[in-house]
Amino acid sequence: MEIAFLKRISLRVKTLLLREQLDRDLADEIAHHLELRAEQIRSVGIDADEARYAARRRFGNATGLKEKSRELWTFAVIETLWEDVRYGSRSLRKNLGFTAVAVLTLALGVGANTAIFSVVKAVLFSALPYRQPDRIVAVARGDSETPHPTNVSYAEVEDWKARTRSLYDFALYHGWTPASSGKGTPEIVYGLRVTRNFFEDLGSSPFLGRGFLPEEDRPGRWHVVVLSYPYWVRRFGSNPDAVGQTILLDQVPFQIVGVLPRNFEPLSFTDAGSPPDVWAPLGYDLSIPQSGRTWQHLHAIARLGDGVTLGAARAEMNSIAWQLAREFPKDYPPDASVLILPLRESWYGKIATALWLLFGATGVVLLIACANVANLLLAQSTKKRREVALRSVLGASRSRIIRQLLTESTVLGLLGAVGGVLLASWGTALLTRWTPDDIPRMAGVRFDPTVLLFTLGIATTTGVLMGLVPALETSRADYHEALEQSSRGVRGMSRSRLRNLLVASQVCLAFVLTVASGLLLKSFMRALNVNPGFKIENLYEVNFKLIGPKYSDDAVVVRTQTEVLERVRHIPGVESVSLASTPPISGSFGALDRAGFVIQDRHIPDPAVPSVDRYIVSPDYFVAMGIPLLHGRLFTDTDANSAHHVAIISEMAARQIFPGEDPLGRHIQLGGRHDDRPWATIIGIVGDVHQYGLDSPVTPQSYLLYSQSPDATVLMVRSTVGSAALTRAIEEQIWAIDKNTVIFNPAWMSEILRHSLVSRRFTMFLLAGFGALAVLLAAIGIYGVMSYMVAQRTSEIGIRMALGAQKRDTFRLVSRDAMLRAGLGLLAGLLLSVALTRVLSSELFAVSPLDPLTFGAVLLLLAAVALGACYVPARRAARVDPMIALRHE
Amino acid sequence: MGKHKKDNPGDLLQGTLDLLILKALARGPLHGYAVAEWIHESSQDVLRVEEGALYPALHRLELQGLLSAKWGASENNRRAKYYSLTSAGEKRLADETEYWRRMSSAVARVLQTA
Repeated sequence: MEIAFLKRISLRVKTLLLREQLDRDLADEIAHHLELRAEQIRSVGIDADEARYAARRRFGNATGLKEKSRELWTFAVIETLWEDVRYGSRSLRKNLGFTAVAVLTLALGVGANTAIFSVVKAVLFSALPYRQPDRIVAVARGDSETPHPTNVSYAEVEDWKARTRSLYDFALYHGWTPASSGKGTPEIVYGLRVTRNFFEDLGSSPFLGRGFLPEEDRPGRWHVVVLSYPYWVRRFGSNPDAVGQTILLDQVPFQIVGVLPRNFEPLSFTDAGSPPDVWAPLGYDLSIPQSGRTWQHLHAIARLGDGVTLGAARAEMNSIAWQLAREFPKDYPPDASVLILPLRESWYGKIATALWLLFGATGVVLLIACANVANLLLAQSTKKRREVALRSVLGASRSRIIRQLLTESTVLGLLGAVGGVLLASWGTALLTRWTPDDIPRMAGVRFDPTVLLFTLGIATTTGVLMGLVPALETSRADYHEALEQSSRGVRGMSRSRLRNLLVASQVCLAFVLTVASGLLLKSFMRALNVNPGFKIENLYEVNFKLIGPKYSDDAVVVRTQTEVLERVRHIPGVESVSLASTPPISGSFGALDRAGFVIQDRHIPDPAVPSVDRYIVSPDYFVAMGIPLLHGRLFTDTDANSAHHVAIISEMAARQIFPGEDPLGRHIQLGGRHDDRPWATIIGIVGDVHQYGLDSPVTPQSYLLYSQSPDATVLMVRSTVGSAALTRAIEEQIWAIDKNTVIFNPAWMSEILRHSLVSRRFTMFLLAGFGALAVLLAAIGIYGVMSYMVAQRTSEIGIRMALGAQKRDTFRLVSRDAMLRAGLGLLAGLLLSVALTRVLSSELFAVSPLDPLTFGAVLLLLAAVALGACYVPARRAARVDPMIALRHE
Repeated sequence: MGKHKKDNPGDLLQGTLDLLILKALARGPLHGYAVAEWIHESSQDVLRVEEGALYPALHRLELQGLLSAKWGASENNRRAKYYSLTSAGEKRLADETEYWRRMSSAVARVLQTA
């Protein structure tokens, strides 16, 4: 049985491959038969020609037989499918114009979908490349002031570790940018300091050498490094002997103990633009001041315990936070909380909304494209009605005809997919170039089988979807009507209603997309117009880092910084210069502190200790930056040299922390109450500055003098000199003081500002692009249907005109129809948008999701587009010559 | 475009043509024409195979593995396709013959009943 089966299959496969041979064999067999029969007939005395006829008559329909045998031999389904495909391609080839428009339309839709999907997949779907990535969570202390809290202090994590049963394997890390010196000018190296279990926790270990030992993760003992694979290749030419060597980081010798494997992806563990190249132990214990509970500058990950849900972990950690707040009321607000997010969400949560949004938008574009092509097919199918009717009359079953029409539209869909993949490969290249740095997995975006499968899937689906309506319609055709030549003028209502529905839904969807992009555009404009709180023009920012043992003395640091200020101030073209620990709008680099704001004469919990941004600045910072003084006075050089500590706070801080009180003269400490340390007196209130980006709310801020804390490492220079010359001049001046100083990341504030909006710009531009595409497609749709209607109604129009209708009447008649349809779509779009724009709210800035201006503008725009799209066909209708139109019939 | 799904064995009962073909080939390989002629003659001119239906039947039986086919030279020295029974074909012939006997005698008995 088995063998027979195999033989049968092999025979069939053979027949499929050896078509022609078999056809010839069959013909031979029949010819042989006919010949023998003719001979036999001739033998009873009938002449040769007559005998041949008789033989053939007796044999019957040889062609039918051939077809039947062939059907037997081959896989009938594949055969007819192939036939349909050939038929479909033929009819597509015959209508090149139609095919080109349809394929282009689909290619745009499919291409947009494929491109965005490849990004969505890389960023949102692929698992993080760590051990059991779904069990890794990011843990942070809740902070109502920060939109996206990520920070913890060392001491509180120690407390958590001791108390939690739902989380284990806490690992801490912290950005680190040492200067590597050795050959040539020192350069900044990006790095991370991590607790010793960090790599293990992620399921990775160095492929050369070893990780960190417990005794190396201690204060003063952490001078060992593990290198990243790329850095090892770059710096050490992949030399395995690198392990054991010593490198100088910040002029301190570090022993290289290991190299991470090539496939280790640090992903978003650092918020600096570049992946970390050097890894050192965190080197903390509870004895050092940076470990203090209020010193939240570390990031934490942990693993969910077996069978512990996120909800359970959150509940437990929040109750622990609550207990800790009771035990250490000085260090925590009474409503202390803990934020636990799956690692993936913590990294990509923000971008996910935008990506889903774009994905949805491309889906809508595809739907519109589908509707367009369905409409075109519908128009085509009207032309095909006669042919289809004829086939039906000749015995083709309805399902057969539907199958055939669907095959045609699927072929169309697949052609669109090919075009789409081409567009998408070009599109993703563009996307990867454009995307903001905060989509960290863009490097992983590529066309893999999943993406192609997705494309194939949507192409077939769209093919069937858009073919289904016309196919069902056409196959239901009334043969009599269809076969009668003259049944042109009056069409069945159902088809035109269908077409109307398609056009209306296109307009509706286009409306939704346009409103969405309009709202984003407006948000973007609003964000651009936000007053950053300081003057951006000609403001240049340069980071510098003093390296060497002598700088462990704060007094030396301050003296050097003062000298740097003095020297840079005298560079020609420099208008002003000041120092800051953190420049405004700084995304990645500054060592921004959020610190507890402790007021001497106010005791806890009265109310909670608020958090403020802490800036260390030089006295002339406010004047140089153009930050206005609102009350009191600014820092002076006298303050800088005085032992008496002073502070300046922002307007928002004054309003939030001292409502109805005068903050001037109050004594404060930043970062925990320490009565043994000096208190700073508030001497002034200045304007608010946008710290986390123009589109983020203003946070309360406080300023201390650089002479009281040596953290100010960014030069803010206002200058009319070009960047290259300016950087060179600054380098010259600073290196004249100490040539080991590292100078890095120079940038104009205007660039930084632009960069801070890059993510918003990205979403906005893409969505606007898709919106424009949607409008274009809808316009084409309206135009196509209108043209078709006019062509269909030429004779009717002719009659009307012959009976005295004016051109204007005709124009109105035709366009009224179209506008009615578009109007319906607009109305539906309006309602749908009202229901849907709420989804956008997280992406909006200072714009209501129901912004009436945007809605109104979009309504006008789309109405104008619809009018424009039907203008040309309507004018054509108005120009109909009644004589020609009637003769045409 | 229309297809006729159903086989049409002419005057013969459905399935009977297959049996007759198998029987014709029981004595040795024959080509299509000879099969038709043999059936015609051995039924004493009663059964006439519709020739258009013969070849699809032969091909179907070949596909089912009941027949095997070989190209050879015919009596008039032409290329002809000779069909012969496979062992599966022989078994099928025996089964079908047995079945046919039982059926026809049953039908005959029914008809004899008054």
